[in-house]
Amino acid sequence: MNRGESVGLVGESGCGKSTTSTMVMRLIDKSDGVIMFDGEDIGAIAPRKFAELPLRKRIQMVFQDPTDSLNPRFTAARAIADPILRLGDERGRRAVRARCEALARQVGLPAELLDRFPHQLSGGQKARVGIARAIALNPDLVILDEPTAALDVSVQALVLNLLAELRDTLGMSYLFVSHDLNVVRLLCDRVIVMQAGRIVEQGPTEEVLFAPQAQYTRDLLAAIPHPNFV
Amino acid sequence: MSGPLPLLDVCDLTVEFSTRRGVVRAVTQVNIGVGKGETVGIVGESGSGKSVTSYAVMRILDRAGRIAQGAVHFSGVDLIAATEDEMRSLRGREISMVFQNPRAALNPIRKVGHQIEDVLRQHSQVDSSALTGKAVEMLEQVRIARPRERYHAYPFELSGGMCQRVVIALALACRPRLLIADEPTTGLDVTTQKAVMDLMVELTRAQGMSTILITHDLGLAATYCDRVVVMEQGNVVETAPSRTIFTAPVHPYTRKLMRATPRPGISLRDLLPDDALAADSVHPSGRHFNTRPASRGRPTASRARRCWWWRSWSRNIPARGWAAPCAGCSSASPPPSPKPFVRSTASALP
Repeated sequence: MNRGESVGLVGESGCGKSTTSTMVMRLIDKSDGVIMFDGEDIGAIAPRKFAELPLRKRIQMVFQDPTDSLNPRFTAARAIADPILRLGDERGRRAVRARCEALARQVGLPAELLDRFPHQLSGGQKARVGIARAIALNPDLVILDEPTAALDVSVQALVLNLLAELRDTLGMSYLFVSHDLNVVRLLCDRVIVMQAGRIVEQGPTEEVLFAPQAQYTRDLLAAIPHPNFV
Repeated sequence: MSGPLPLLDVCDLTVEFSTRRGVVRAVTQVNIGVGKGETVGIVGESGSGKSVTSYAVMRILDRAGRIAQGAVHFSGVDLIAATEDEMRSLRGREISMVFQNPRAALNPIRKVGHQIEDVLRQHSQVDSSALTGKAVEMLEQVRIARPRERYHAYPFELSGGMCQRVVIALALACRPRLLIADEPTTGLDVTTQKAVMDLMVELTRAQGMSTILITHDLGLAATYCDRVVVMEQGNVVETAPSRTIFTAPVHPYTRKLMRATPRPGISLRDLLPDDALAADSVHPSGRHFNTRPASRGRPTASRARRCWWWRSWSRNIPARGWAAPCAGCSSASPPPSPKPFVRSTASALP
């Protein structure tokens, strides 16, 4: 992946796409191979150690289910502040709070919602909290693990637009993990299709989706219920 | 609708929930008819009342909810007047339901085969000697490979798609006349979704069953339903055959939903409605959200009071952690006149 590039990782559940992304995130260990990030082999660093490295700031993740990935006993502000407190430069209550409010503005979350708990927020708002938390440290790479799977179509549309806008303003790279090819197409420059732990096809998005080479990609495309309207 | 008398007739159904903030009307005067052998899709965002409608039909509403008005008839039986015993014998035998999260719908500490047997035994459909055979047969029918082995599996040993197949097997075990599928494929990936939906349609067609498919995926509804009911904030805004509703949608909400569906040949911007960007970003949908105070900035009298009480009571406890104080509640004296905290949204409805 290049800087500023968005890559979609596509496949059905159990094909290893989440395992790959959590490995890049250094949450689990690899068995073999090399993970290079900006010239450094991050695969060689133990997951436990990696959590404390300054390098950790540059890779962040947005998880699938915003309800599961937010601590129910943290307010939205506390959740967003967590990475800042652990790895950020801001020190002191006021500075952290100001940063949280700036981030909330950036993701379109009204400041008065910052003191609410996850159960007092709607799905779209929780997704925004998850995104604000991920971009809190100005990362270079954000891993999005099906960020819109739990959302309604209209909320999904808003969140996808927000993600595109943030990428353009902050110059981040996205590794977008999803099984929805239509969504991947909207956000990614390049697509990697995985099946049973192997890459079966990769290439520029339009090429893969309109002229798929692998049989598996064709099956995936055929499985999408066709909204042949408008 | 096929024929003059539909299998399920929901007429003017209104469901209300009593909450601490007053009565919330989740479903308002909904009319839905399902003919024999028909597949009807109920489409809408979360909070639009589509699940609540189906729960009301099954009479499995939360304790806080009640059917305030309307009638539900299932092949001549009045479901609202029916006793709990009558409903128990109907559920699973005549009307059954496939729930959204299959893992939550299955008992985690019971073998899936035994769970299918439970349904059959409850409705005494087969002899106790033939139970096991019938359960294995059901597993086979939903295309679970090696059904005899899987009979002994626990839900956690099966994948999401597999669990959903088991739930479908449970729902179809007694050959009901109506199947309500509440977002049966949310959380499954596209290939599994296709397999599950195809299976469900095939089995229901073969047995002449009627189906209600609840979903927020318009593509899914367009592919598998004969007729689509679009719900917004507890109201039915449009009902039409699925072929016409997507080529000529009448209601603006239907158009908005269609527009937001990702599909080939459009860009990210196309997904948003014209007036969208700021207005819709905060409160996505549903009267549920609108009943909350719009802003926590200036608290209501009673909230400020509660904060004040809490603070004066907990004065000796040192402030812990980083929690920010409630924005408008910083004054040290209690707010003067607490008004009675009664809030009825029902009267404020259009």
